[in-house]
Amino acid sequence: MSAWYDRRLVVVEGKGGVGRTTVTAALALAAGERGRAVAAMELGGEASLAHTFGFVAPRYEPRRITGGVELASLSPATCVVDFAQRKLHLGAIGRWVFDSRPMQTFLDSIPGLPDVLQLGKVENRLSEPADGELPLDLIVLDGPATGHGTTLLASARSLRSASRMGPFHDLAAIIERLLEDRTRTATVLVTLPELLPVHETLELLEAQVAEGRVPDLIVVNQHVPPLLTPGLSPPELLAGLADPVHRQIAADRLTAEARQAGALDVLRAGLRRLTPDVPIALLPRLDEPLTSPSALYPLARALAHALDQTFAPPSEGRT
Amino acid sequence: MTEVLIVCGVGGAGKTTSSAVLAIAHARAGRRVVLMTIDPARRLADALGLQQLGNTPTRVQLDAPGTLDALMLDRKAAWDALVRGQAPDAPTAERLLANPYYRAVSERLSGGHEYMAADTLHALATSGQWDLVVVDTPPSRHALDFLRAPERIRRLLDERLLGALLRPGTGFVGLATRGIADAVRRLAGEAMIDDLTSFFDLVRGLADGMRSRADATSQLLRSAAGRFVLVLSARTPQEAEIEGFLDALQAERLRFRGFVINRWSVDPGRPGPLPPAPDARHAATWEALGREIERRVTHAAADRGLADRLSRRHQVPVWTIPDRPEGTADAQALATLSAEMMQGAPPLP
Repeated sequence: MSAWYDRRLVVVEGKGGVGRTTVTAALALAAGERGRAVAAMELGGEASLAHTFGFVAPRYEPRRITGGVELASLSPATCVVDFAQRKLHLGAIGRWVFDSRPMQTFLDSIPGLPDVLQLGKVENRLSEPADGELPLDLIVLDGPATGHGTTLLASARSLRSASRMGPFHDLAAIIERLLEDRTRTATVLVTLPELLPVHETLELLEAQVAEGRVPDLIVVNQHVPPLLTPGLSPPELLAGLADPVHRQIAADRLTAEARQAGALDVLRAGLRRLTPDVPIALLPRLDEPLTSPSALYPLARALAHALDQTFAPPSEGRT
Repeated sequence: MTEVLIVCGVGGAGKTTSSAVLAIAHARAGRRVVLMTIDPARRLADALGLQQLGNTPTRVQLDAPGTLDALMLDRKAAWDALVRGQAPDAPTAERLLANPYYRAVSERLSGGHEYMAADTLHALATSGQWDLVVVDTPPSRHALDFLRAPERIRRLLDERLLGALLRPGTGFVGLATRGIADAVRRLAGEAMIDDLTSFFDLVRGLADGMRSRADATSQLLRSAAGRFVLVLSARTPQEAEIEGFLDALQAERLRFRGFVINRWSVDPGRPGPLPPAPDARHAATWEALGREIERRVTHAAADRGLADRLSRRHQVPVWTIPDRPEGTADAQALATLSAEMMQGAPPLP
């Protein structure tokens, strides 16, 4: 199995609020630091990734962040026009047809279609970049929130079986093959070291196991590192603190660490049962919120380091 | 009259926990409360100490003068129940359930969760069994999705819009519609168009009932019985999201009752300077503790500032759910958070 940065697509999944966008940004920067031409992309016309990199508004046209890293925000509306012009050669009339209200209602009423159209653009960008687009080694995709327990793969399969034939069907089949192919696509599932997110992650994993496509890596974001140095016990620490406020804060921190350990135990037990081979990388909690894009770099390096330790190390060679 | 409290918020803000804490607070105040959440399934069941949570209300064990029932909506099961209950006859229901397009719609059409939540809300509110229905809105990226999704489903059921595309030749067909219909056919393929057409033929018998219940729900939400709160996670305030949400509520003439700040940092008090580590071997622990103390003080000040700013700017109450190191693992922990939330707080929304 090739290293994550030698594949073509990394899909970052996870429920809302776990830090999916931050992990996407960090992975893209880490791949850029390894010399890959990489794009970080988000779906649904969202601006989370754009905000993370310090931009006010999302933009469909790629823009350069740094070195070999670029950023783009896809939306179903932009991708459907792109798709229709490639498939139907509608020319100038295409945009008008797709802006019409009956067409919008129609496109809205097909389950899974928005996801598949946007992934179609991703696939197209990788396999045959248009004039003026730079060739890319890798796309890191900030996937949709998995709060509904749905995945991009499920969207593609659902559309393929609902459409039975035709251009939507063919596109869904292409996307399905891309997502299933572990030599081309890696999936990263982000969670938090807390009980409710862990339970939801395990529910999602269960659904993915049933689908036959498990993630390549689980990232536990905002992990609180242990306060105690080896050889120091909680009573010793608390006894060494004269100020009651210091004692309370230290005690709260130890309680939170114990709760976190409990949640990680549940996660590990669930993984042993469902997908014993999927590694876990811990991403440390930052003391300060991310206020500037430059603060992403330490996180990117920490994540890249954790990935190299746990996830298809380069020593296994490329396939 | 049964009142309705709609708990909105972006994904990850802690809507489910906040909804449970609010519902328990109302039960502690002596009311008969039912709490509805939408799948994913287990998180609320876990937190409330229930083995299983299904499509019908289950009593939650609480030491409170009122009562709390909870249900979890499974969207596929809810859609199927709607079809079976509303179809004019059994063969129509079975044909609809077997239609490939219906299956895709009931399983994953975006907006389907929200539509079923609104439909079930109507049933709960008109049953007369409860004083209050608390709705934990489905996970979404935007707080407003709950309000907008039912309208999307209604538009989908409005055959005048899609009819012209699916059956060019019937009704008013201008050159323009023909062009769009042609593009639709070429993109989707004949098989899908056939399924869609038979879906709309079958669903016609249900559509009137679905539309009239959607109208009744939207009237209920606009009446004095309907109220909305917005859950925010502390330290990730999204000013644009908040403004957009409040503007939209106002435009729809819906009643906004205030903010709930989840994971609120409890004020740790005023710590003095941290003395150096008594033992150099443990210097790293003392350094980390110094950062932890600073973090707690900074967060508490930021959260206090956020609550003050929100209540000043919007002139509404703000409830705060403390971030306890023990977390929200069971019904007892949630009840404790309810009690703490109500200390010195404005009356419940």
